[in-house]
Amino acid sequence: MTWHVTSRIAGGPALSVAETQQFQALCASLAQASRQMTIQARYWSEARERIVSYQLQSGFYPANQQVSPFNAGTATGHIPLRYRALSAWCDEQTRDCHAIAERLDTLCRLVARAHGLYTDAEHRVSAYGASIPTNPLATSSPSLKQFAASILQSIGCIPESDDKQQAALEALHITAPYHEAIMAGFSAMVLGGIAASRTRRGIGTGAGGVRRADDLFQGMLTKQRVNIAAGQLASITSSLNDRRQGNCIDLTRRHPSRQIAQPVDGITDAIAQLRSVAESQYGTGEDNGLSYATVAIQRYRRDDGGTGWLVIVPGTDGHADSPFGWAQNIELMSDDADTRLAADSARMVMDAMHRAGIKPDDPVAVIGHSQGGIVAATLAADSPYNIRHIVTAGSPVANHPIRTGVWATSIEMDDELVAALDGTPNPASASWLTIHGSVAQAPHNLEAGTDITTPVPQSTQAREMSHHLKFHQAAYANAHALGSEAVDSHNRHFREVIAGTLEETSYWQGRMAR
Amino acid sequence: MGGPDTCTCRRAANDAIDALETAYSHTRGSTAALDDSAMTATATPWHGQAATLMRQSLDSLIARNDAVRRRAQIMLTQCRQDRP
Repeated sequence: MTWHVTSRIAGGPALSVAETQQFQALCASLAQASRQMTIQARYWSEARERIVSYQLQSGFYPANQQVSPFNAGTATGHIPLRYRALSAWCDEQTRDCHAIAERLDTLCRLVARAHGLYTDAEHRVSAYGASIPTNPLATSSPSLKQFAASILQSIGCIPESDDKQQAALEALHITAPYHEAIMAGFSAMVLGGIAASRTRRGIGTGAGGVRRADDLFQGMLTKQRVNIAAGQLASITSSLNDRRQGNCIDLTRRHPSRQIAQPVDGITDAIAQLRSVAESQYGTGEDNGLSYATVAIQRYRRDDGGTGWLVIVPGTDGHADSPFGWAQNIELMSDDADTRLAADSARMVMDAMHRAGIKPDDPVAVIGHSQGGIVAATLAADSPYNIRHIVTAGSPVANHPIRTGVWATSIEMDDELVAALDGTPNPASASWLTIHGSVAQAPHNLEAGTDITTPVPQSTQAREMSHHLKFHQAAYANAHALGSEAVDSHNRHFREVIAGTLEETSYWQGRMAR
Repeated sequence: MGGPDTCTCRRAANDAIDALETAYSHTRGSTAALDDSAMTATATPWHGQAATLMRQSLDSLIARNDAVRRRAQIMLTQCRQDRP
């Protein structure tokens, strides 16, 4: 049993009207052919039913009762049709027609997901879900606890276990279409609670206090509600976390015994290098000698003589003194730029970039997983660096105000939940491409060449949390194989930032200190 | 019960052949729709693995549908031969 990923595309440079019409016409034509095959299948099935019925009638005809009712009517002078063979043939015809119809449907979906033909409809459905401010599911604490447990399990903070974990993962998979709505509803609930509390307690007494609460009530109705809620929570959690971890970052350069991150030539390579750097830190890959909270920075001599940089940022590791802890996620998700930039993980990465020698005008590409992707979006939104392209894998960044001119390529698995924590779909634009990956077991009867699916590397028998980087890697590979111009153009743009020769890779580890 | 010209089994045989002919007549619509898809696919500006798969798949589906048609023709021919 292997797990496979199929991807669909949203955003990226738009097709021309003529091209869109051509792909829509192709989809319509495939759908029409599928309908015709289904109709044909129905006629063969009907013919079979009639033949079986005639076979029985013929058998009960007195002249034929001397012979088997299920054989041809062989009595002298009567019609010897081979009913049994005919019925088997009709069965075969029906099966073949259905099989052809199914393959045509698969081809239609292939065209649609390669060229983002369903994107608008998906966004409408998602927006409708998110517009329900207090989704009842969001108030169900057992469900939320289960989701939280799944997130923790995804990065190995809770040891792999048992049937309970499988049940939680199945629940996540089944509820995938509602994750964003659930988070939006949950955030609205949190904001409503804070606003009511502030009104009740008269915080910021007088008109100011009331206005603040009003702002929060209004925030409940915006699509930034998750980030507004995170901003409110961060004002409490950041100071608590500072007391626990300290607020100083001790950044040191590490020198692993072997080169961990290899030269990168495109997004496919970049994801592979992100896995190399990150998985040992999560405890899910082989030990590469790097401990947790370590980022890699590559310096490229560009073909034009300039310097380009690639910053590789792993996600939350959850260690007690790590700048990539759980609390930092809340700050990074804030709607306030200062709060985001003050998050320990963002500060650490910017410090590492400074120490590595990145100058404000140097073009920089950043790739990050989970919290690393939120850091990438924060740098692209708020930092003084010349961020040109970010790649986020499993990161909730839809509401980060990424600067104009920065390209963003986001890879999100349907059932990973973490990417849906922003409560809304990513904007779809020329410079913001989102690849949505969907995980399924490879069907036993999958005919060779029926569809473009990509096997998940090192996949296990049981369902795994798709927040694991290997799923994003498979999703990007699948999107790349679709031959979408949107994916190709983003890959070209990413390559242009660092096109040249890798000169140096440095590794930087952060520890929180008092 | 009458002789071979009016008996139930002759009517049953005729009806069975009618049903097969009806089903067979619908293979034309499918063939036309598949040919149309293949032509549209050829005209689209799409390259790479998925586009190749699409075109190859359509070719193989057209061949498979032809097989369905041929099998139907054989069926009908044999039935007509079996019917005196």
